[in-house]
Amino acid sequence: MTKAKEKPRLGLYSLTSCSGDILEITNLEEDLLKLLDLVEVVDLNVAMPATGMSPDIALVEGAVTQAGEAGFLRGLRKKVKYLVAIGTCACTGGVVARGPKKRKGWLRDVYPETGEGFISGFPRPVSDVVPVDFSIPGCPIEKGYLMHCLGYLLRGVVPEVPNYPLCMECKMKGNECLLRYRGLPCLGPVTRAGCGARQPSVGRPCDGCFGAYEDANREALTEIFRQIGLGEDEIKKRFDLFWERG
Amino acid sequence: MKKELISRVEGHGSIGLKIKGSRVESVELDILTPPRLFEKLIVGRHFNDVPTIVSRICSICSASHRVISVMAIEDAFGVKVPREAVLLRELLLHAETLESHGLHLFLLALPDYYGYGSFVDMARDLPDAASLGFKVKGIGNRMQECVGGRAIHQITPVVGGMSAGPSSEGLKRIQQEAAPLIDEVLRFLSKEIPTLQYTPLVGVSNWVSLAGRDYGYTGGDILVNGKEKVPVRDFYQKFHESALPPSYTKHTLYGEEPFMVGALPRILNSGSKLKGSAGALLKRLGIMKSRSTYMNNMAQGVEILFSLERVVEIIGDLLDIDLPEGQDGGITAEFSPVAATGTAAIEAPRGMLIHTYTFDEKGYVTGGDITTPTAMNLSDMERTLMIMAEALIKDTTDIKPALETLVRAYDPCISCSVHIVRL
Repeated sequence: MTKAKEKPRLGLYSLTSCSGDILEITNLEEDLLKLLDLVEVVDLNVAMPATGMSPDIALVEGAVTQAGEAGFLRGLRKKVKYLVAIGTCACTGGVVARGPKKRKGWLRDVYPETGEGFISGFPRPVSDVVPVDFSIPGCPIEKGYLMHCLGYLLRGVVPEVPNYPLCMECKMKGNECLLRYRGLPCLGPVTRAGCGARQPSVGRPCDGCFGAYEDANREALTEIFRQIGLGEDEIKKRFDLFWERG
Repeated sequence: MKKELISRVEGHGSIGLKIKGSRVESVELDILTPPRLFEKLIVGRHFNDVPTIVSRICSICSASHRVISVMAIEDAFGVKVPREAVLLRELLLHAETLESHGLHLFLLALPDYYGYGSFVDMARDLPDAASLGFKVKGIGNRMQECVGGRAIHQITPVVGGMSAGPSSEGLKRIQQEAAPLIDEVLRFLSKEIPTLQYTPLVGVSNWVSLAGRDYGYTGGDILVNGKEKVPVRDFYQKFHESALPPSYTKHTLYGEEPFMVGALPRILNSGSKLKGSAGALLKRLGIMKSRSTYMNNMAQGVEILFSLERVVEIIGDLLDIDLPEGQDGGITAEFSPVAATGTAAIEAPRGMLIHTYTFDEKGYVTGGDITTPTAMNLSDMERTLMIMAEALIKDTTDIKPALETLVRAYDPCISCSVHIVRL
């Protein structure tokens, strides 16, 4: 084991989110202890007061909705070697990045006393504010995928991640295809693999939280959705649940 | 006094105090997790997408949000859910309680009792406390994975029932792990845990929980102070949200008064129904008599035992039924959407949680309301913070640790405060 002062420093930061990605890191359990052998955690507000030390690698969860969050990211960017977006909110804005034009009205309805005076912008991905070295998608992130990527980053190498559809993982598990045999609107054919096909394995079509892989053919899947009887509005709503901003 | 972030709570919050000389003028607890407008995000969505969206309100309570949104939709459509699916959902809620209480009691709150800054410091001297926390949290996570399909943002609870059955292998493993853990937790919590020096200062004034026939996390009417019953659908008539000056924060009040929800109110309302080791620990700790707000932590300990015992029991029942597993294991009732409003309440780890939705005849959402336990507790947190600050300000210069400890005793889950902020 290396001495504590020689370990790379890891910071975990939470922007506008449910905190699920950092919670998933605490769920690593035994692997968390292995990770703590390799790195020194210098910031984690959920479980400890901040140490004030700058990290080498920053993992950032959540979307950017506040001016303060954007300012924080700009400062953080200057200090760290790797800035990594973790979770779908940090990667794309996530499930909350909906209705950009309706947002002002929503704020007025939910917070009638303050309304628009309540400063809260349309949820943006971290990469809208500062350059991001790497993105780890998922709602929430997958522990195995995260550890795989950290393994690369700790050696100073940009991680290799699956660039093929979720369907590959579904086939390897021997699942029945929900799209073909049950007529369910599964986003598996266009979604990056990496979760082990969690939803189809328990009988639910993929909602696409990992986002698109590089060669994803959205047009072809849209045509299949039409064939299984989905209207244009329903198709749009399938894609904008997680896969893209709506 | 400068507002500073509170550590060891989920999400971001800060306490603001206005002090003049040795007088506390006001206390303000700010929820800094920005608004995400979930109640609006679901409008226009198909009912099937609602549980998926609202479970993202909070990662710690995602199972509660998912299950209660499904139940509120079922209330609107008049769906009768098969018994096996009801049992599986109950198992999922116990799993979440174990994960949440395990994390909060052992890793976030106990460091206060033993005088450490974090569980990492505590673990050096008291490895048992930290490792027991990880064990309880771990079994909760593995159960959520086994029954819900994922430890966070569970997948299987769907309108009508469950989309898949858990593997019987997985259930057996959990049952084997849970049984010895009951003794281990009972032994640890039965020995002396130091009391906080400021314990007698603040107590519960009004307490609210769901109270059904048995001690449980679903079903029954809302029970106030052990006597007044309020049917769940009348929640909005008896409980009000209002902004109290000088704070802009939105508060939920019972009539005009603050109230507390969570483990302690559940114990005060229904603790007499607890049997087994949970009942034994409850007697030993004297929670029913003390009514100190800090007892919420120990009440979580009692509930860890209750949940572990129930888990062993439920899995026993489920293993007797030959449940189909995985993709083929869907257990759902037939139903059709109707234009209607549905309301349901559940005891999430942090207290009562209520979801209400209105649908059009095709099953698309036209309106929704979500009231979370942290929103309900906010007024009571400010009430007790005021009492505490006034009592300590005279002879203590640094009252911040005491106030932070008090906030943590409530186990606030600040990211789930969907609509309580007035900044």
